[in-house]
Amino acid sequence: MIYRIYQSTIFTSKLALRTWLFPIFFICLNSYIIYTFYIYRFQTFSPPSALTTSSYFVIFGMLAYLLFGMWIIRVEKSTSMSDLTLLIDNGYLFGFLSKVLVGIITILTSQIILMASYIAIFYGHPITDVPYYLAVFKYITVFWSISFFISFLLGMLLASVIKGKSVYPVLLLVFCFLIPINHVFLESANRVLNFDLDSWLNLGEPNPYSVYHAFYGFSIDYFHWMKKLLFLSIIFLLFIFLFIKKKIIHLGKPTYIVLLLFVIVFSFSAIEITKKNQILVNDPTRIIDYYRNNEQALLMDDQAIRLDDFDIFLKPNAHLEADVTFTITNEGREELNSLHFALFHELKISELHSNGIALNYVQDGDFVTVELNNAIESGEKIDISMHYEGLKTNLYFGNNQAIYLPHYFPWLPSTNLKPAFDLVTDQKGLHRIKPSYQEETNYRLTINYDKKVYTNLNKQAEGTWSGKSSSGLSVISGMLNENSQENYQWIYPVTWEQSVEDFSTFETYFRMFYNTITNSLDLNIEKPNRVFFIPNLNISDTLNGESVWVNGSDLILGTPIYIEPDQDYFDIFQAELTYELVPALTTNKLNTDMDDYEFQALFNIVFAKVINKQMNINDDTDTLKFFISEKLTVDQDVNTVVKELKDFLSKKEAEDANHPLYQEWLHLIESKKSWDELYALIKQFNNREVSPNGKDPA
Amino acid sequence: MEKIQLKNINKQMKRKDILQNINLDIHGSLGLLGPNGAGKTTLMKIITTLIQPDSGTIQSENLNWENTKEVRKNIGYLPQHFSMYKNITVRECLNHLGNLKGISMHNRSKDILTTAENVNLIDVLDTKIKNLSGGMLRRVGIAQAILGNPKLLIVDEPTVGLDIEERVRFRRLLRKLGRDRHIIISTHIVEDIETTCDSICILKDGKVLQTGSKSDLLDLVRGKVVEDMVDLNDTYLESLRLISTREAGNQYKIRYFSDSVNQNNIVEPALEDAYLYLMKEEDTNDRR
Repeated sequence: MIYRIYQSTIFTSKLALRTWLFPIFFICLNSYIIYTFYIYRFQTFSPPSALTTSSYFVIFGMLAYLLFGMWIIRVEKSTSMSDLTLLIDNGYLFGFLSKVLVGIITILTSQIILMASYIAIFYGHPITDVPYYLAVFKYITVFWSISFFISFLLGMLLASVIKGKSVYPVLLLVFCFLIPINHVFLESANRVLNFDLDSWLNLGEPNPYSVYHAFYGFSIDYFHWMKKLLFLSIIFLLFIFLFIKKKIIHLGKPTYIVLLLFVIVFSFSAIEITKKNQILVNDPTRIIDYYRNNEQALLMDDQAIRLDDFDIFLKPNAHLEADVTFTITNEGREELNSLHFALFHELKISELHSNGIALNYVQDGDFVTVELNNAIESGEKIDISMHYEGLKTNLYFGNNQAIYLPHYFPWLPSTNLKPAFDLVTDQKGLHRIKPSYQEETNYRLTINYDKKVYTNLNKQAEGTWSGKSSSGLSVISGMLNENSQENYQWIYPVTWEQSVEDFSTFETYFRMFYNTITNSLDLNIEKPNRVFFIPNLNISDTLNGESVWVNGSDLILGTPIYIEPDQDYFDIFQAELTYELVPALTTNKLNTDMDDYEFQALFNIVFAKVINKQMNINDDTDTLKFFISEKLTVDQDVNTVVKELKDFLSKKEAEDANHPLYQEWLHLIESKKSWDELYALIKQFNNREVSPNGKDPA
Repeated sequence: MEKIQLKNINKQMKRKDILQNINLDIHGSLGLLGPNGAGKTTLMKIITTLIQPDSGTIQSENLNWENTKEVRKNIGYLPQHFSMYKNITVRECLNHLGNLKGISMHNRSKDILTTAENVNLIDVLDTKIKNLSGGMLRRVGIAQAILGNPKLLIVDEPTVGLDIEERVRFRRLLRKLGRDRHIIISTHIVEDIETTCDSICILKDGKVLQTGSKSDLLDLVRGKVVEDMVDLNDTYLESLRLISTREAGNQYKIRYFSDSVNQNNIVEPALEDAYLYLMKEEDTNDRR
């Protein structure tokens, strides 16, 4: 049987090769994409973009394979072969399988050529990481090769069931539905169905207009594999039914086994894709839309409770699953009948119990209220265990591709009764509200993961970490690489190797910045020596101070996801970096109210500008001017402050980062003072003489 | 192979009776003769198992047509409009079909050569299909049908589109092939059958009008075929059951059926006469 199929495959291959049209198309298609690789190597260096910007290749490829599949059936129907093979025992079936094999061989040949070309063009320039090339291979497989194979099979199927020229409009329709830019045709259907039909049907790159996410890697999520498997199983099931109807195959044990196999694959893939999955989708307004539509009214009071001894078991699969146990101590004077926590709303609790007894709970937005069966007396402790899962946002990850659960994101229950995000300033920008951690907390973390996991805890064994932190727990993993030099370790996306080669520039800059800010503001902050250089901002992020975060010795140095840093990144963006670093070391660590942002941001921006000046960094960013004119919510109080501030900044003394105003301004923020007090402070400095060394003569 | 018996075969398509109560014994070479639309091709496809009858049975002593898998192993088929991929050679075509038929690689090469010799294709084995004449292509069709030496060869309208010389050659070939296997030839051309078949079945409107040997059919019209010389203006011509009219000098030689036993010009009938006689008889019956 195998030999008959093999011989038939050779025959069909010859037939296809002798058309000339398909071989020429094959060569053109592969040459086009190899040329694209060349462009992204030698003209615009961006190895991942060579794949993700290949929608045209996928569109033409899908059309070519649809036509190829149609031709391979039609060429037989135009001869007597259909009738003749039907008369031969299994003749038609073996002929069919040989045609499928020709499709597979063609696509595999293309995959091998493209993969080899990609490695030849990009390997060592400067990416050498095997996991990255493995991801490239998976990307080519799932979004190119399997998509082409599905197109090829659909072409065969349509040509098998539709006679005459009417196959062409149907083919065109199917093509329009399945290509990466299918939303052009399906946008209105989306609205009617209230469902993203286009992204569901799209067989190509899921984010044809977005850039490569350097931290997450290619969007080769589990969902996409299952979707392709579902398509394939449906097509093969249709073929089986067609063959049974045409009596090409007869109902018998072998047919039932094959049928059962495909039904199992179909059911499995259908169930898997209906499960909650975290997929990297081009949906930058997801979070903004949520908080715009779900204003979170805080109906609960702060409680004097302490959360400690977290035992966390993470299962980052299709999405994040977490089993978390922690101890709650009632530190108040009164007994508590219910408990309030903050937890990001996409993490849905499915189980919650205390000492094995299930408790009632209500999850409302980013808040959880737990009804206790027995009140907790003052000073009493109880253990709470919960299982929650979810996470869909593209800002944080917890799946088998990447984990980004930073300390500033409420992925663990927190007593900070504030939502995870707020929309602030006149422009309603996305602002992250960090959970507060008043005291040192014990953590024990367990994860089984196939990539290196970075946390701010100490590694105890493979997959287990434990330790204490007073600023929360960060868990980070993804398409990352690491490097170290002297006291520094820096972690970065594998595709940014070239950009971080200039890390010494950053190190010099950061050392100077750290010394300046700690001296000027009299800060007592540990100097971070582990730097995460990762994309963590959405395209809709417009506010200052959202990308850089400090957690003990860890510094998360974020960029927008659309940034493809070049070799001079640290040089070019030093001025902008200061505007992000200042809040990271000053106000981001404060337990502030939601409406404090503008009050804090004004300080951060002013002080960053001053530091840039002091460090002789060329600052042509206009950030302060832009913030005042576009973002600051102007009222009488704010107006008078701004006016007074402008007067102050016009003075030479304002360029000195050691000026006492800045330190006192920060104290105002820390002690939650108002615009009035800030006005008074600035006015006070505007009205008095200051000695040339910046010190108050008084 | 033993005699194949068709019993009470009926087939409807689009609510039209295509075949009605067909009873037929096939042994040796059988010619299926009938006008277009008589149901010949449908009957052939039923015998090949390509389509199933609505009712009725087909079987030989060792084979039941319900077991299509076994039946197909014993059938070679040349469809009415035989065509093949244009860009392959005759050898590649035969090799591919031989492979699908399950003939081993070793036996296939030998089988292809023997078959090509049998059908006189040996010189064009490496010629591409697109460069063959209509007759040659028909030979390729026959060659593929007899690959694997099937016991029953079914040939649908074998000489349509061939020139006279090719037709004669092809009929001779069919005769040769019919020596050691059953062969069913469906045609509406009487000459195709005259020289190639032992028995004949005449179909019209899905019904068998007559079956039997060539001489059985000739006996039907023996003494009824008359030839005469006439002027075309003769008024009595309209009352005759004409078979053919040929020009002969100033007059015309006519051939017609006559039931009168006193005719002087009775001639030896041909198969075509019998065929036409049955057609006309059927038409007369239908009118009644």
